[in-house]
Amino acid sequence: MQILLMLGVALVLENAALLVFGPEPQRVRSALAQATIWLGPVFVDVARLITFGVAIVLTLLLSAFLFRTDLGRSIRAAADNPYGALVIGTDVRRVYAVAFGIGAACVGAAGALVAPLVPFQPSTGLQLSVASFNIVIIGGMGSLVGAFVGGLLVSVAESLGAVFLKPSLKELVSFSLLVLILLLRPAGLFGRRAA
Amino acid sequence: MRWLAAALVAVLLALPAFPSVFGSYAVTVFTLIFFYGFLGQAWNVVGGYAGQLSAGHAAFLGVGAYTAALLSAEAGVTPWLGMFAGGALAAVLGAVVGFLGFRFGLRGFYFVLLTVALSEICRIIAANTEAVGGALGYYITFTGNPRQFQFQDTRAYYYIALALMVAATGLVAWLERRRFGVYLAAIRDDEAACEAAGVDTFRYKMLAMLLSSFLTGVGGTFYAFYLFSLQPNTVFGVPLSVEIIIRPIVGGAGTVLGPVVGSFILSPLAELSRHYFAQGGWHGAHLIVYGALLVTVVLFLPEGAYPRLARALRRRAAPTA
Repeated sequence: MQILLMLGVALVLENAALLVFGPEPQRVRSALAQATIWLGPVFVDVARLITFGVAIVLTLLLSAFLFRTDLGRSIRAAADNPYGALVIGTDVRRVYAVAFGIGAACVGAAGALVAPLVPFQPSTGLQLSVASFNIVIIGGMGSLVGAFVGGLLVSVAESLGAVFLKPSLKELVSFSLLVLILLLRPAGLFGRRAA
Repeated sequence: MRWLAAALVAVLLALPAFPSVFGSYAVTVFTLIFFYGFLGQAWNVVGGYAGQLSAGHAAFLGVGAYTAALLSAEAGVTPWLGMFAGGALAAVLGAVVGFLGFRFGLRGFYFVLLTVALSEICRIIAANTEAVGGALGYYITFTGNPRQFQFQDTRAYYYIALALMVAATGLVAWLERRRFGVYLAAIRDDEAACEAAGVDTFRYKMLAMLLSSFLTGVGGTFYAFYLFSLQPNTVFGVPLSVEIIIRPIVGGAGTVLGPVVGSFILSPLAELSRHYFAQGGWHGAHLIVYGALLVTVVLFLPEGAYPRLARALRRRAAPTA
């Protein structure tokens, strides 16, 4: 039932954004978004480079938090075995709330980072939710490395699909990849537990 | 309980007579109540009884709608048969999602997103296939020929929608008392225990999915030939999936009358609010209301309106009985 709650919240947010900002794609125009530099033989947007760097730093910070701090260990314990975590004195409800907050903050940061790169509109949230679902399943549920590698794999596959097929068909490529992974390796590339 | 049953029977008996009394707008509203009641009932099988929350039922409706419309326009197959072809194709799609989701243990949140991803994929394919009208949509020419599921008199749609809803509700009421219905409820309440007791949970979840997607696909025919236009963004869109699931959830998921009660509560409200909001140019405002309603129901009335209503009536009836 929590999922329905989240669906409800998503509906309110998306359509409130639709009312306030309209359905037209928005763009962030800044001097940074236009800047480019040569990295050896490759021509790179500075904004993309910054986004890439910050994403890596955030991922490293997140993994340090999950593996090196007590709160991070509690989160992994509660995910692994809620009853076990409860038995050894973890406040599972609090841990869930904190994990949700951190997850939401990370996604918020991702939104801010991607805003200068691609036009966005209220329905972008849904597209990115589906994309992140693909990534998590492909990489392996509950695996940080999996999410990272899955993210690279999905975005490269989608970019290739956009070039070789049709830009509007790129989601089809990642979905086919998802189906393939589910059939061949249901736990995902880096998932530990077999489903 | 006897009161409630008597009242329901009275209402049911009176429903077929309504169109001759009411104006055409009321007939439209009632047609929508019945149709969404039917779709909610179809969702109820897998989402309510088996507890596998699908948020992509629009995909099944869309596949059924496109199948029947194309068969009718391109191959001359009457939609009266096409609706079963559409239902069958939707069931194939349901089997694919069910297999991927249930076989590989995509539970809860992951299953919801899998169903959403599926309807998104259907939307993208339909929008990129010129043969079915592409992103502009597919339009059905109105001939008014009843053989082609087209009626001059809108009251015909009223009776068809009523028949769909009553048939689906009857089917669910029958299934609920069978082993099948009990297994589904057991899977929803404690899947691990159910499996430990020797139930092939995968099989029953698949059967629930097949039945639910078939019924929704059949509903697609009604959708196509009631509206005469199919837009990929609408037919395969998340808002339509939300329309399908919100009625049984508000009315009471996993109960026979929940989807019907939910549709009687919500469909008129949806129709009025859409009308009102559209006049103010507030498109999508009714989805804000739906979202807030979902949150409220999950927090304060998780069992839905119907069980609460039934208990209240029983309590009132008890002292006199």
